[in-house]
Amino acid sequence: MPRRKKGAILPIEYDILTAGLDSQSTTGSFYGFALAQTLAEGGHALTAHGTLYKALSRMTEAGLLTAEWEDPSSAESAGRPRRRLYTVTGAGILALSRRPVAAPATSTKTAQA
Amino acid sequence: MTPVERAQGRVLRWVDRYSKGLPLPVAEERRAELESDLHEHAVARRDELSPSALAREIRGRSLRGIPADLAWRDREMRRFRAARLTTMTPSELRATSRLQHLLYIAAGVLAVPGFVVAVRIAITTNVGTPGHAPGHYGEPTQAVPVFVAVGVALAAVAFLINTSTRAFGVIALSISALMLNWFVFTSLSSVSYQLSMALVWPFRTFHLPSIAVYGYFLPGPLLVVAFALILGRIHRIERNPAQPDEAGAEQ
Repeated sequence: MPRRKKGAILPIEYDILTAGLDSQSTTGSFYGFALAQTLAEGGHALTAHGTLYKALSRMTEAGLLTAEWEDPSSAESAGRPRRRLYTVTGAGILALSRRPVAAPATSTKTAQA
Repeated sequence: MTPVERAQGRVLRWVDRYSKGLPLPVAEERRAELESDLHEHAVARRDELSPSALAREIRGRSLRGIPADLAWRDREMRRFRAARLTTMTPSELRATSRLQHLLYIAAGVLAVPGFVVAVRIAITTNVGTPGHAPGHYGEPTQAVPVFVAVGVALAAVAFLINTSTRAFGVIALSISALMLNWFVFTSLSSVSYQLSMALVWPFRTFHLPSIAVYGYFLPGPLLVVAFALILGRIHRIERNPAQPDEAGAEQ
Protein backbone atom coordinates (compact mmCIF):
# COMPACT_ATOMS: atom_id res chain seq x y z
CA MET A 1 0.00 0.00 0.00
CA PRO A 2 1.55 3.34 -1.03
CA ARG A 3 2.39 5.75 1.75
CA ARG A 4 0.67 9.09 1.59
CA LYS A 5 2.59 12.37 1.81
CA LYS A 6 2.79 13.78 5.31
CA GLY A 7 -0.03 16.27 5.84
CA ALA A 8 -1.88 15.20 2.68
CA ILE A 9 -5.65 15.00 3.03
CA LEU A 10 -7.59 12.35 1.15
CA PRO A 11 -10.91 13.04 -0.64
CA ILE A 12 -12.83 11.02 1.96
CA GLU A 13 -11.31 13.16 4.68
CA TYR A 14 -12.54 16.33 2.98
CA ASP A 15 -15.96 14.69 2.72
CA ILE A 16 -15.86 13.87 6.44
CA LEU A 17 -14.94 17.46 7.28
CA THR A 18 -17.81 18.78 5.13
CA ALA A 19 -20.38 16.32 6.49
CA GLY A 20 -19.08 16.75 10.05
CA LEU A 21 -19.40 20.53 9.90
CA ASP A 22 -22.98 20.19 8.66
CA SER A 23 -23.85 17.80 11.49
CA GLN A 24 -22.17 19.73 14.25
CA SER A 25 -23.90 22.96 13.23
CA THR A 26 -27.16 21.33 14.37
CA THR A 27 -26.16 18.73 16.97
CA GLY A 28 -22.84 20.07 18.24
CA SER A 29 -20.94 16.89 17.36
CA PHE A 30 -21.26 13.74 15.27
CA TYR A 31 -20.54 10.02 15.61
CA GLY A 32 -19.41 7.28 13.26
CA PHE A 33 -22.64 5.79 11.98
CA ALA A 34 -24.40 9.17 11.66
CA LEU A 35 -21.45 10.33 9.57
CA ALA A 36 -21.66 7.19 7.39
CA GLN A 37 -25.35 7.96 6.79
CA THR A 38 -24.60 11.57 5.82
CA LEU A 39 -21.83 10.44 3.45
CA ALA A 40 -24.24 7.93 1.90
CA GLU A 41 -26.88 10.53 1.10
CA GLY A 42 -27.74 10.51 -2.57
CA GLY A 43 -28.07 6.75 -2.83
CA HIS A 44 -24.45 5.72 -2.16
CA ALA A 45 -23.57 2.70 -0.05
CA LEU A 46 -22.70 3.22 3.60
CA THR A 47 -18.99 3.79 4.09
CA ALA A 48 -17.18 0.59 5.09
CA HIS A 49 -16.27 0.20 8.77
CA GLY A 50 -12.54 0.02 8.14
CA THR A 51 -12.47 2.98 5.76
CA LEU A 52 -14.54 5.19 8.06
CA TYR A 53 -12.82 4.48 11.39
CA LYS A 54 -9.32 4.47 9.94
CA ALA A 55 -9.98 7.93 8.47
CA LEU A 56 -11.51 9.21 11.73
CA SER A 57 -8.57 7.88 13.72
CA ARG A 58 -6.02 9.49 11.42
CA MET A 59 -7.89 12.82 11.32
CA THR A 60 -8.09 12.90 15.11
CA GLU A 61 -4.36 12.30 15.38
CA ALA A 62 -3.73 14.99 12.77
CA GLY A 63 -5.74 17.49 14.85
CA LEU A 64 -8.47 17.92 12.23
CA LEU A 65 -11.05 16.42 14.61
CA THR A 66 -11.38 16.01 18.34
CA ALA A 67 -12.95 12.89 19.80
CA GLU A 68 -14.42 12.07 23.18
CA TRP A 69 -16.56 9.28 24.52
CA GLU A 70 -20.12 10.10 25.38
CA ASP A 71 -21.10 10.20 29.04
CA PRO A 72 -21.96 6.58 30.02
CA SER A 73 -25.12 7.65 31.84
CA SER A 74 -26.59 9.24 28.68
CA ALA A 75 -25.90 6.09 26.69
CA GLU A 76 -27.30 3.90 29.45
CA SER A 77 -30.49 5.91 29.72
CA ALA A 78 -30.93 5.66 25.94
CA GLY A 79 -30.27 1.89 26.08
CA ARG A 80 -27.39 1.81 23.61
CA PRO A 81 -23.58 1.55 23.58
CA ARG A 82 -21.63 4.75 24.16
CA ARG A 83 -20.97 6.85 21.05
CA ARG A 84 -17.62 8.38 20.28
CA LEU A 85 -18.41 12.00 19.55
CA TYR A 86 -16.32 13.96 17.07
CA THR A 87 -16.08 17.67 16.33
CA VAL A 88 -14.25 19.43 13.53
CA THR A 89 -11.46 21.63 14.91
CA GLY A 90 -10.21 24.99 13.68
CA ALA A 91 -7.41 23.14 11.89
CA GLY A 92 -10.07 21.01 10.17
CA ILE A 93 -11.99 24.07 9.02
CA LEU A 94 -8.76 25.65 7.77
CA ALA A 95 -7.83 22.45 5.88
CA LEU A 96 -11.27 22.37 4.27
CA SER A 97 -10.99 26.00 3.21
CA ARG A 98 -7.66 25.17 1.55
CA ARG A 99 -9.07 22.21 -0.35
CA PRO A 100 -7.66 22.14 -3.88
CA VAL A 101 -10.21 23.55 -6.35
CA ALA A 102 -9.76 20.65 -8.77
CA ALA A 103 -11.04 18.13 -6.23
CA PRO A 104 -14.78 17.40 -6.55
CA ALA A 105 -17.07 18.64 -3.77
CA THR A 106 -18.23 15.12 -2.92
CA SER A 107 -16.43 12.00 -3.96
CA THR A 108 -18.91 9.28 -4.83
CA LYS A 109 -16.22 6.65 -4.98
CA THR A 110 -14.98 7.34 -1.47
CA ALA A 111 -18.49 7.37 -0.09
CA GLN A 112 -19.02 3.93 -1.56
CA ALA A 113 -15.71 2.53 -0.33
CA MET B 1 -29.96 -15.80 17.07
CA THR B 2 -31.21 -13.51 14.28
CA PRO B 3 -29.29 -12.96 11.00
CA VAL B 4 -28.45 -9.41 12.17
CA GLU B 5 -27.03 -10.66 15.46
CA ARG B 6 -24.97 -13.26 13.61
CA ALA B 7 -23.58 -10.59 11.27
CA GLN B 8 -22.79 -8.32 14.22
CA GLY B 9 -21.06 -11.20 15.98
CA ARG B 10 -18.93 -11.88 12.91
CA VAL B 11 -17.90 -8.23 12.63
CA LEU B 12 -16.89 -8.12 16.30
CA ARG B 13 -14.93 -11.37 15.97
CA TRP B 14 -13.11 -9.82 13.01
CA VAL B 15 -12.37 -6.71 15.13
CA ASP B 16 -10.93 -8.96 17.85
CA ARG B 17 -8.82 -10.74 15.27
CA TYR B 18 -7.25 -7.74 13.60
CA SER B 19 -6.72 -5.86 16.87
CA LYS B 20 -5.04 -8.86 18.53
CA GLY B 21 -1.61 -8.03 19.91
CA LEU B 22 -2.22 -4.27 19.90
CA PRO B 23 -2.14 -2.33 23.18
CA LEU B 24 -5.33 -3.07 25.08
CA PRO B 25 -6.69 0.54 25.17
CA VAL B 26 -6.32 0.83 21.38
CA ALA B 27 -8.05 -2.52 20.78
CA GLU B 28 -10.81 -1.75 23.29
CA GLU B 29 -11.47 1.65 21.78
CA ARG B 30 -11.82 0.21 18.26
CA ARG B 31 -14.16 -2.53 19.51
CA ALA B 32 -16.33 -0.08 21.46
CA GLU B 33 -16.63 2.18 18.42
CA LEU B 34 -17.67 -0.74 16.22
CA GLU B 35 -20.18 -1.97 18.84
CA SER B 36 -21.77 1.47 18.79
CA ASP B 37 -21.78 1.57 14.97
CA LEU B 38 -23.38 -1.88 14.69
CA HIS B 39 -26.08 -0.95 17.18
CA GLU B 40 -26.85 2.37 15.45
CA HIS B 41 -26.86 0.67 12.05
CA ALA B 42 -29.35 -1.98 13.16
CA VAL B 43 -31.65 0.59 14.80
CA ALA B 44 -31.54 3.01 11.86
CA ARG B 45 -32.22 0.43 9.16
CA ARG B 46 -34.44 -2.20 10.82
CA ASP B 47 -37.63 -0.58 9.49
CA GLU B 48 -36.28 -0.16 5.95
CA LEU B 49 -34.69 -3.58 5.37
CA SER B 50 -35.53 -7.19 6.07
CA PRO B 51 -33.32 -8.86 8.72
CA SER B 52 -31.38 -10.80 6.07
CA ALA B 53 -30.86 -7.70 3.88
CA LEU B 54 -29.67 -5.73 6.92
CA ALA B 55 -27.30 -8.56 7.84
CA ARG B 56 -25.95 -8.52 4.27
CA GLU B 57 -25.43 -4.77 4.44
CA ILE B 58 -23.52 -5.09 7.74
CA ARG B 59 -21.36 -7.88 6.35
CA GLY B 60 -20.72 -5.84 3.19
CA ARG B 61 -19.52 -2.83 5.16
CA SER B 62 -17.18 -5.07 7.10
CA LEU B 63 -15.82 -6.90 4.05
CA ARG B 64 -15.22 -3.72 2.04
CA GLY B 65 -13.29 -2.27 4.96
CA ILE B 66 -10.88 -5.19 5.40
CA PRO B 67 -7.91 -3.53 3.56
CA ALA B 68 -8.36 -0.38 5.65
CA ASP B 69 -8.64 -2.46 8.84
CA LEU B 70 -5.36 -4.20 8.04
CA ALA B 71 -3.67 -0.89 7.15
CA TRP B 72 -4.87 0.56 10.46
CA ARG B 73 -3.54 -2.47 12.34
CA ASP B 74 -0.20 -2.18 10.56
CA ARG B 75 0.10 1.51 11.46
CA GLU B 76 -0.84 0.92 15.11
CA MET B 77 1.47 -2.06 15.37
CA ARG B 78 4.44 -0.14 13.95
CA ARG B 79 3.81 2.67 16.38
CA PHE B 80 3.52 0.23 19.28
CA ARG B 81 6.75 -1.59 18.39
CA ALA B 82 8.66 1.69 18.03
CA ALA B 83 7.48 2.71 21.51
CA ARG B 84 8.20 -0.75 22.92
CA LEU B 85 11.86 -0.57 21.84
CA THR B 86 12.40 2.18 24.41
CA THR B 87 11.05 0.05 27.27
CA MET B 88 12.77 -3.28 26.50
CA THR B 89 15.16 -4.76 29.05
CA PRO B 90 18.82 -5.36 27.98
CA SER B 91 18.20 -9.12 27.78
CA GLU B 92 15.14 -8.59 25.57
CA LEU B 93 17.16 -6.28 23.32
CA ARG B 94 19.97 -8.87 23.09
CA ALA B 95 17.52 -11.67 22.26
CA THR B 96 15.81 -9.58 19.59
CA SER B 97 19.17 -8.61 18.10
CA ARG B 98 20.33 -12.25 17.97
CA LEU B 99 17.15 -13.34 16.22
CA GLN B 100 17.38 -10.44 13.81
CA HIS B 101 20.96 -11.46 12.97
CA LEU B 102 19.78 -15.01 12.33
CA LEU B 103 17.50 -13.60 9.63
CA TYR B 104 20.42 -11.65 8.10
CA ILE B 105 22.53 -14.81 8.08
CA ALA B 106 19.67 -16.72 6.43
CA ALA B 107 19.50 -14.05 3.73
CA GLY B 108 23.25 -14.42 3.16
CA VAL B 109 23.02 -18.21 3.11
CA LEU B 110 20.36 -17.95 0.42
CA ALA B 111 21.94 -15.15 -1.61
CA VAL B 112 25.63 -16.18 -1.79
CA PRO B 113 25.31 -19.87 -2.77
CA GLY B 114 22.29 -18.93 -4.89
CA PHE B 115 24.43 -16.48 -6.83
CA VAL B 116 27.21 -19.05 -7.29
CA VAL B 117 24.73 -21.62 -8.53
CA ALA B 118 23.09 -19.09 -10.86
CA VAL B 119 26.46 -18.23 -12.41
CA ARG B 120 27.28 -21.92 -12.73
CA ILE B 121 23.99 -22.62 -14.50
CA ALA B 122 24.50 -19.60 -16.75
CA ILE B 123 27.97 -20.60 -17.91
CA THR B 124 27.49 -24.36 -18.00
CA THR B 125 25.58 -25.10 -21.11
CA ASN B 126 24.72 -28.35 -22.78
CA VAL B 127 23.21 -26.65 -25.78
CA GLY B 128 24.47 -28.30 -28.93
CA THR B 129 25.68 -31.44 -27.17
CA PRO B 130 24.33 -34.76 -28.46
CA GLY B 131 20.97 -35.66 -26.95
CA HIS B 132 20.21 -32.15 -25.68
CA ALA B 133 16.60 -31.07 -26.08
CA PRO B 134 15.36 -27.47 -25.80
CA GLY B 135 14.14 -26.61 -22.29
CA HIS B 136 16.19 -29.35 -20.61
CA TYR B 137 19.01 -28.87 -18.12
CA GLY B 138 21.83 -26.88 -19.62
CA GLU B 139 19.87 -23.90 -20.96
CA PRO B 140 21.50 -20.63 -19.74
CA THR B 141 18.03 -19.09 -19.34
CA GLN B 142 17.45 -21.47 -16.44
CA ALA B 143 19.73 -19.17 -14.44
CA VAL B 144 17.24 -16.27 -14.66
CA PRO B 145 14.82 -17.41 -11.93
CA VAL B 146 17.77 -18.25 -9.69
CA PHE B 147 19.17 -14.72 -10.16
CA VAL B 148 15.67 -13.37 -9.38
CA ALA B 149 15.55 -15.45 -6.18
CA VAL B 150 18.96 -14.04 -5.17
CA GLY B 151 17.64 -10.52 -5.85
CA VAL B 152 14.60 -11.24 -3.65
CA ALA B 153 16.91 -12.44 -0.83
CA LEU B 154 18.92 -9.21 -1.10
CA ALA B 155 15.72 -7.14 -1.12
CA ALA B 156 14.70 -9.03 2.02
CA VAL B 157 17.76 -7.63 3.81
CA ALA B 158 16.65 -4.09 2.97
CA PHE B 159 13.23 -4.82 4.49
CA LEU B 160 14.68 -6.60 7.53
CA ILE B 161 16.77 -3.60 8.54
CA ASN B 162 13.71 -1.53 9.39
CA THR B 163 11.49 -2.79 12.23
CA SER B 164 8.37 -1.51 10.50
CA THR B 165 9.04 -3.54 7.33
CA ARG B 166 10.58 -6.61 8.98
CA ALA B 167 7.54 -8.81 8.29
CA PHE B 168 7.82 -7.99 4.57
CA GLY B 169 11.49 -8.98 4.80
CA VAL B 170 10.55 -12.38 6.21
CA ILE B 171 7.97 -12.84 3.44
CA ALA B 172 10.63 -11.96 0.84
CA LEU B 173 13.08 -14.42 2.47
CA SER B 174 10.43 -17.13 2.34
CA ILE B 175 9.72 -16.47 -1.35
CA SER B 176 13.44 -16.55 -2.09
CA ALA B 177 13.86 -19.84 -0.21
CA LEU B 178 10.98 -21.49 -2.07
CA MET B 179 12.23 -20.20 -5.44
CA LEU B 180 15.80 -21.37 -4.81
CA ASN B 181 14.50 -24.71 -3.55
CA TRP B 182 12.54 -25.27 -6.70
CA PHE B 183 14.77 -23.82 -9.41
CA VAL B 184 18.18 -24.85 -8.04
CA PHE B 185 17.18 -28.38 -7.16
CA THR B 186 15.39 -28.95 -10.40
CA SER B 187 18.40 -27.60 -12.30
CA LEU B 188 20.99 -29.42 -10.23
CA SER B 189 19.56 -32.83 -9.53
CA SER B 190 22.88 -33.95 -8.02
CA VAL B 191 22.50 -31.33 -5.25
CA SER B 192 18.97 -32.51 -4.62
CA TYR B 193 20.09 -36.13 -4.51
CA GLN B 194 22.91 -35.50 -2.03
CA LEU B 195 20.65 -33.48 0.25
CA SER B 196 17.93 -36.11 0.05
CA MET B 197 20.37 -38.84 1.01
CA ALA B 198 21.50 -36.82 4.00
CA LEU B 199 17.92 -36.19 5.07
CA VAL B 200 16.69 -39.77 4.70
CA TRP B 201 19.76 -41.35 6.29
CA PRO B 202 18.37 -41.27 9.87
CA PHE B 203 15.16 -42.93 8.70
CA ARG B 204 16.82 -45.58 6.49
CA THR B 205 14.13 -45.08 3.87
CA PHE B 206 16.11 -45.27 0.67
CA HIS B 207 13.27 -45.49 -1.77
CA LEU B 208 12.97 -43.03 -4.61
CA PRO B 209 9.66 -41.32 -3.68
CA SER B 210 11.09 -40.34 -0.26
CA ILE B 211 14.25 -39.03 -1.84
CA ALA B 212 12.26 -36.97 -4.34
CA VAL B 213 9.98 -35.53 -1.65
CA TYR B 214 12.78 -34.70 0.78
CA GLY B 215 15.10 -33.30 -1.81
CA TYR B 216 12.77 -31.34 -4.01
CA PHE B 217 10.04 -30.15 -1.70
CA LEU B 218 11.09 -30.20 1.94
CA PRO B 219 14.03 -27.75 2.32
CA GLY B 220 12.11 -24.64 1.16
CA PRO B 221 9.05 -25.15 3.36
CA LEU B 222 11.31 -26.05 6.30
CA LEU B 223 13.11 -22.71 5.89
CA VAL B 224 9.78 -20.87 5.63
CA VAL B 225 8.66 -22.46 8.91
CA ALA B 226 11.98 -21.52 10.54
CA PHE B 227 11.65 -17.89 9.39
CA ALA B 228 8.07 -17.72 10.68
CA LEU B 229 9.16 -19.13 14.05
CA ILE B 230 11.96 -16.56 14.33
CA LEU B 231 9.59 -13.70 13.45
CA GLY B 232 6.99 -15.00 15.91
CA ARG B 233 9.64 -15.18 18.65
CA ILE B 234 10.71 -11.57 17.96
CA HIS B 235 7.09 -10.45 18.09
CA ARG B 236 6.53 -12.27 21.39
CA ILE B 237 9.54 -10.53 22.92
CA GLU B 238 8.39 -7.17 21.61
CA ARG B 239 4.86 -7.64 22.90
CA ASN B 240 4.23 -5.75 26.09
CA PRO B 241 4.56 -8.28 28.95
CA ALA B 242 1.61 -6.66 30.74
CA GLN B 243 -0.66 -7.27 27.80
CA PRO B 244 -2.86 -10.37 27.68
CA ASP B 245 -2.47 -12.63 24.67
CA GLU B 246 -6.04 -12.17 23.48
CA ALA B 247 -6.21 -8.37 23.43
CA GLY B 248 -9.71 -7.11 23.18
CA ALA B 249 -11.25 -10.56 22.98
CA GLU B 250 -12.28 -10.78 26.60
CA GLN B 251 -14.87 -8.05 26.57
